[in-house]
Amino acid sequence: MPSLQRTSITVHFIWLSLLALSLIYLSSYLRVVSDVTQFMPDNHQNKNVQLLLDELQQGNTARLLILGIKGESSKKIASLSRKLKSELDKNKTFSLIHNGQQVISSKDFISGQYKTLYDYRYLLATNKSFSEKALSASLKQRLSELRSGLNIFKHSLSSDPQNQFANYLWNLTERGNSTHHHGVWFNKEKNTALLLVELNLTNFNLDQQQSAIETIQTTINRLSNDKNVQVDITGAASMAVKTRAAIQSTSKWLSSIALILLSLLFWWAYRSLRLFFLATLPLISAIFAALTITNILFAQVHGIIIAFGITLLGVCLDYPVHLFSHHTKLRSPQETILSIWPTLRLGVITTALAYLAMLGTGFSGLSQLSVFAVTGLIVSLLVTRWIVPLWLQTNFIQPKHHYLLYLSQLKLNFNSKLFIGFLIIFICSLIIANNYDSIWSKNISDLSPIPEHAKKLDKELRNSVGAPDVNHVFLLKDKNSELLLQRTEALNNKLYPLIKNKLVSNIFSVTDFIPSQKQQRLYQNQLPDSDSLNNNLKMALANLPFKQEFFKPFIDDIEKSKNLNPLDVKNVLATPIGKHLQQDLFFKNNEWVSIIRLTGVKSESALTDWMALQTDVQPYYLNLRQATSSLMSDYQETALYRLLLGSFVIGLILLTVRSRLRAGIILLPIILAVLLSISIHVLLGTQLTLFHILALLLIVGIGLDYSLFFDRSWISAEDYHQRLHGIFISASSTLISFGILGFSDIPVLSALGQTVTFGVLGCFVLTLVFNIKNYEKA
Amino acid sequence: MTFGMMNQSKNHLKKTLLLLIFFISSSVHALDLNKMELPELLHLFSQQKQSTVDFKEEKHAFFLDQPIMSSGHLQFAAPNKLYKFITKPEKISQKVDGNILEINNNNEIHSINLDEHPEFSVILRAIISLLSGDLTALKKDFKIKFEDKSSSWSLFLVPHDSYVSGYIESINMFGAKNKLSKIIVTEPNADRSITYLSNHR
Repeated sequence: MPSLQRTSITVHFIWLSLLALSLIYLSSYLRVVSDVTQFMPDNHQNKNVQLLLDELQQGNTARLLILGIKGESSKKIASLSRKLKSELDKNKTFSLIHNGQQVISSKDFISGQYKTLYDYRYLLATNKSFSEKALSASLKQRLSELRSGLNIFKHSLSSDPQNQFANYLWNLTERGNSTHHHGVWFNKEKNTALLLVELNLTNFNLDQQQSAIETIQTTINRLSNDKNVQVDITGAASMAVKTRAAIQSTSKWLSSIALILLSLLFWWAYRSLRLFFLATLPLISAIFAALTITNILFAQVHGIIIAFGITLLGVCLDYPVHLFSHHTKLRSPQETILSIWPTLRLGVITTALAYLAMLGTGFSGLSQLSVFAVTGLIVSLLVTRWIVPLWLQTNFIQPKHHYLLYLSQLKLNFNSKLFIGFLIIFICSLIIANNYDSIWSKNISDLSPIPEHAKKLDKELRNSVGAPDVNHVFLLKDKNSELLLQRTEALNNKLYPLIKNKLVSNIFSVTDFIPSQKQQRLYQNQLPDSDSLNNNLKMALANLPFKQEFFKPFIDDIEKSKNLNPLDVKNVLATPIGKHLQQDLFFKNNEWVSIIRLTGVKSESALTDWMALQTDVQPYYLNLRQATSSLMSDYQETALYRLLLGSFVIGLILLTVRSRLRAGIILLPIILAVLLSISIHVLLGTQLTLFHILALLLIVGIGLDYSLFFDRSWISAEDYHQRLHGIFISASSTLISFGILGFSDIPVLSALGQTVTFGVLGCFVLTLVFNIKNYEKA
Repeated sequence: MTFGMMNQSKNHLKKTLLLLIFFISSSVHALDLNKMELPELLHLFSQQKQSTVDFKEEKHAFFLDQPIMSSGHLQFAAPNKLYKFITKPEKISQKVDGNILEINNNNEIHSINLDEHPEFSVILRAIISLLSGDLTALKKDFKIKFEDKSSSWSLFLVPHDSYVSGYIESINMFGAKNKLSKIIVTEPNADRSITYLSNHR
């Protein structure tokens, strides 16, 4: 006994110190990342896809929020949009707030921050015609504006009577897609005012993003003071914050419900709540250890891995359950754990080896998950072996459960089992074969932890505000910015047939706002000489009340423009319009990148057909959805392959420790349960993702434990009852926690929950059915 | 002289003085009978909740050989709705409702928030404040000089705000009783717009 006490002290000391060390380490070094791209392979062949994904997730695009204000009369909402803009303009957290208001005064053109651009207006934008007819039309338009009192461009009237510069700015900020109402961007159908807000954050700290979003929310509440007013916020930052909130709230309600149901289960099974808390010790230790080791090895842990991994380790609850169920007052807890130790150990080692198969795929997400799971499994096994028995009371009495008697008296002959097995294989193969093409999800967004309703809202607001479709872009790269712009212009010109043939509604190229120096020279050369311009102007002014000499600055500016040195990229990006262009032209990895975007694609297939004929255009085309879906297939294929490899390893190990027949009886119910789980998903119309595959691996691990415990030799009916009890309670606790998880609105977690629920149900029933024979023999 | 006599003579003086004061004051009052102060005028305007009037406008600017002419009618509804319909030489409408100015020029609609463009709103606000009889609002925006001759009045407004006065130097309004007859808006560079109002209904 003294030696036992000494061992107990040593073991507790080691356990508690490791736990404390892990806590200290995690509190200062744990780095959680949350975007899907980090879950993607490290060395993807198509660097352009990676570049675009990076830009979307971490670049300027990721800084954008789209706001939709609704719930009141359009006038109130429009006024709120203006007030919000003027309030947020004062806040340094936001670098750009755009709501469709045109607030730039023409005074700023001449002497303000737009002066450089204004001076270069005839070199930056496609010039309007300077013919008599064109000039006359412009002047009549200006006259009408003066009459209407709308003389916003009064200060630039003499030098830019065609409003060349105002149109340049308008095209830049509007991108030709959004609609106005009451002077601000509006979705009239939904009675929603729209705003684009750019966050001025250098890093993507979730707390900062959250506080920026909260600032917007509280500002609106303060300004409107109206409960009816609602604001929808979307964008990468908002998604990240929402996802975190969703995961937090899900884990909160999930853990509270699970806690209640599981404690009820433990009370029913063992008449003890103490045992329930004892059972959580291996799980908690496993989570801390897994987080620590993963963070040490990868310098970060992906949010998906944490959410997924922790639920995955829920299986660790089973280990102490087996111990409790096998325990009787006839022997000490140490004796009990030693009696089931070989089975437990075999189960954990085989499952861990299966997870190890996920290592070294080049998919960092899979590797992290593998390390997380293996560490967790082993640690929980060790805690179950060394710590839990020390806290188990020797004299605890298990209640009699009549269901065990019922279950243990079931009878089934060999042929019936064979029939059941074949029937399941036949039906499942039929279902899977029939739907083979649609089993796997090809949409990368299915992988993301973002709740479905948030994705829908994002799509809706993005469409309303006329944000370009990220799925149709042309990406060009060059070390030399001038060459890049020239190539972009050439490509842009080749794309014009798309608009002409009405295949797309608009093409947005950065060169429409920052032309190459070559193009600027071309614009310069197209400018008319003073005499003919003067002449055209004179004729245009006939019958109009304007004095001709008033427009001398216009003639002079055109003359000056001819002698300007073209602007280079950096000059333009440094002006106020730079903010509007930095998602379309940026410097990354020592290269300049330009992106041409298509909006309003009428038909994907028509676009693809057109592209197929344009051999000089096609190489630059990137369909993000297509590209990522092939990425997904690669990912899923690899995971599936590794799953099979893992299962093969398990089979191999079993064959070395068990006879072929017994290995078959152990494995068959698991294989059938996996088939059943996949078939049920197919029947429900759920497309399988990477997470479903990983969940299948969990089913294999859990099922293996059940099978191995059934397979243990036993000496008495009571012994058999005990293992049946252990398996039944394990299965029930798994079904409870994963069943609840199935209702989560986070796609990853619900995928895991549903798959495991179906699978574990299958495993329990089938392992029971296939092992009934053993009892008959006795 | 006894004390009593002295008292009597003092009383007499007092009576005479009082009489004099009464006559002077009543004669001044009699002179002022046809004149109004600004508050009275504004009160008169505030009685009329709706009005329509025809207008003819001339815009004179240094860059124009001839003024830009337009005509149409104005509609006002208390407290802050002002519609301007230009019918000649082209159809343009301007609607002010609260702080939003909506201009419909050949079916192209522009909305302008008046709070952001005080240079537009100042003229409209002056007219709306007058028509609705809002003295506080007028005082808030302008230095006021009011003159009333027996049959007509003139209101001379100079914006307080230095930003606005960069655009608008003064607004001169003329009228008789609660009928506005002319508005002259003068810009710092001497550009002017003159609006004649007639046929009040």
